[in-house]
Amino acid sequence: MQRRHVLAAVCGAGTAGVAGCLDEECPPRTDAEPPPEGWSMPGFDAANTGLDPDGDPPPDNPTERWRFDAWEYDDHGGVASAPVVDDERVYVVYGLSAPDDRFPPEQDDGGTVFALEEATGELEWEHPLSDPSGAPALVGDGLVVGDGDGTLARLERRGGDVVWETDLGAAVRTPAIADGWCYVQTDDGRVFAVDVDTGERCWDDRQKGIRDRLGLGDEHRATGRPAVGDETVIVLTGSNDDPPPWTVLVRGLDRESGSERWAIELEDRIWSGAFPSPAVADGTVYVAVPGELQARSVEDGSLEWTFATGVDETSSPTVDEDAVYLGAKNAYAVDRNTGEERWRHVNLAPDDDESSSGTDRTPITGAPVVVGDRVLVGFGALDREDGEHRWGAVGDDEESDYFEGGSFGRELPTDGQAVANGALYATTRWGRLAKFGGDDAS
Amino acid sequence: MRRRAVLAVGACAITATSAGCFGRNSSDLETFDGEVSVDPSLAPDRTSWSVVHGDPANTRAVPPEATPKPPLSVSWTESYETHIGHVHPVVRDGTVVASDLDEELFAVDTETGEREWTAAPEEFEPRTAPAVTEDEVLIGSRSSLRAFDRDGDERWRTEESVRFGPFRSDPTIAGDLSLVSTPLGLAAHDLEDGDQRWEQPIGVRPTATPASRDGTIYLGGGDATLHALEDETGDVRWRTNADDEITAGPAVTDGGVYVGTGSGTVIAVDFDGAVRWRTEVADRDVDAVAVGNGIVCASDDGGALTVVEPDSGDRVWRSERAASSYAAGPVIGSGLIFARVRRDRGSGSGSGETIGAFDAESGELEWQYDGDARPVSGPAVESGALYLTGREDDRTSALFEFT
Repeated sequence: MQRRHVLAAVCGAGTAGVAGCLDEECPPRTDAEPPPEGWSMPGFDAANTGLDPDGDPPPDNPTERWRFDAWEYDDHGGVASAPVVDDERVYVVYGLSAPDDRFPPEQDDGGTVFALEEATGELEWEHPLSDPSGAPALVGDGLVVGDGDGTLARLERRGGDVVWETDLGAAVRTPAIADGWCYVQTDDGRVFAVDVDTGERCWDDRQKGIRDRLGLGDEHRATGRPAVGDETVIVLTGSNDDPPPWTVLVRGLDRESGSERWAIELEDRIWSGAFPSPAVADGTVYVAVPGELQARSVEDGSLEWTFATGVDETSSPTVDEDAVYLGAKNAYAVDRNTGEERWRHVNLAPDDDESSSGTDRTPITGAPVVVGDRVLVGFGALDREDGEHRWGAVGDDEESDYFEGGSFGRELPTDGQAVANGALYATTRWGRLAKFGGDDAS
Repeated sequence: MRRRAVLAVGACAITATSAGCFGRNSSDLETFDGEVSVDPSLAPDRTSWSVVHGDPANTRAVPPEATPKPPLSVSWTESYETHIGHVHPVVRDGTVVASDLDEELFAVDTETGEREWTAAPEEFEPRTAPAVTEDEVLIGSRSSLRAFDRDGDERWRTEESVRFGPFRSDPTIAGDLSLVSTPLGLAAHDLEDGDQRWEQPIGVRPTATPASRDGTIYLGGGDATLHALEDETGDVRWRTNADDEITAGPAVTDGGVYVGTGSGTVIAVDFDGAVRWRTEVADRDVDAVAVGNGIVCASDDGGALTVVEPDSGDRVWRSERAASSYAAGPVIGSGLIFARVRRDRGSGSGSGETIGAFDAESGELEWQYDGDARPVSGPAVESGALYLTGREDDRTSALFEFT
């Protein structure tokens, strides 16, 4: 088979010794551990759709059940991840670095995985990280999380004990888990498939440039999650030999072998901050790059349409049957077939530094999340049909408990919120996690 | 025909003075396969240059009787002091109105070149080009829109926060409304008393002056979207995505709506919002468009002028002889395009840029002003004259009339 030849050639090219290139492929397993009920990873699923087709949103105008301010428990500072949720706990990583942000928060190395009791928000367990580098993801009875020292670890969801650890060589980003495999990028632009049962690596893909080959350091970087389709894993990689900024590289990798099927370099799209994660649905991958949203064929990466936003700092896209949702200051719903705007929610934050002062109004740069008839944005909800504001704080309020105005930085984790148990769980990048709706604490 | 001869050599570069193929770097004019034939009868019928882009539809096109006949020279000069910059003038009923972008709004008689009046209220800080109606002069100041009567007495100012400044949009007129950008959208005020009729937020700042025609307002912004709004209510009729931030236009004619973008494209949109064509004219911002007489003309901030056929979007010619400016734009009149140009080497003046006129069909530079005045912003074109602001000498700014 042709794919075998490609794989052999990749191994023969000298990565075998370094990366542990194995002969066997890693097909999806039908008997793999399922994710727990809830919102098991940022973006909801490994395709990163941000859509829970079977879930229920909280009722409109829900009360805040609890809030957890991570800085009260960990003084390293930094940025909080998107939360993930099962029916017992809410998990969040605190202490992520944001070195490319225009206004990075003060921080030291070090941070924490926090597991909070779902009903009360009380701290149940915590796990220290050397230098947080990604959000967690849940599978079976485990939680998988990366660390800045190159460690990918599986912890027990109950209690936080370490089940396995594996070294991936560079800061590990947020995993996408499907069918027994954890697909994850590292900061240096590599992509790995790791067995979630054992922590053993199956394949890795390294984007090699001249500097990499000469051992002169990284020409590539990655910050987001892969989007996992039926046969293809799509990743965004930054490419530059004197960073930043980074030219965006979109790549499609064979899901079983990791071999590159296609790569598209977006020469006119450069990024100085974090890269949002792509989302895949029905043979199309949606990619948010500075200034626009692109729909590309999963088959060969070819462009199907673009939707220009004019705004560089955008969220990851969210996809349902009809529309793609995006936070690009305003929140947008874009028709999946035509690439035309279906609606926008006009965000009232100032759109430049000159006038950004005095209010907590905040541009929407976190991924919208779609559940039932609501699109959840920030700490509130819009109507899925027309984008009308339904309840809560979506960045438009002069004064807010959930947003700190005053800068055009990324206030929300780009990977969005979690909706489970009839509740919304949302974090600010500064580390406030709150639960709205769902059952009363009892 | 000369144009045929030029077209016969296809896409190779032609200089204005000698026909033949040269490398791109050694010539200023490039021609393409598209063709236009100028039809002055298509020009808008009007007798004033009342808003920054000529008329509320932003065409920057004038009828044949208003078009000056080069060669032109300075017929009068009205000096003023400024350290800020130069504003695009407007002209109506024998009066030119301009400001020093600092303290003063002023009116000059087109016949005599004498100043008719000066308005300099306290804390004025005029920031935009003016607009002039039958009985009012409008101008954006630091945080409000102000209206003066035609004698320079202030009539009203808006209470609401509006948004002005260089590189932003200028106030314009739609029927009995004034249109001004707000921090996140567009507002309409009653011309009589300044009361706000409506505000339509788009979420990011408008980056170009809106156009109005036949009850619809067309607005382009930093959100890379062309918005069509109902003029009475501000309600959205449709929205069409552009390639990038809209940086030029919208300009509206019978043929549709034309915008230029930050990606260097010109986009033609039908009245139902459908995109008719997109043509790349530059690798940088398009900074102004003019539409009329059967042509579309775009200037980009690299200093080139490109002419495009309005129905097909085919490029006709592109001249790098043009010069960029933050408050200027090409003007279509009869068979000419008036625009700022780079001076010929050896033309005698120290300044590198002046005003000139291109043949609209061939792209050849027909005329350039070689005198001492240094026109920068404009032109407004009316009754056979050009009006620009600029430098009289190293210290003094001036409003110039060219006839």
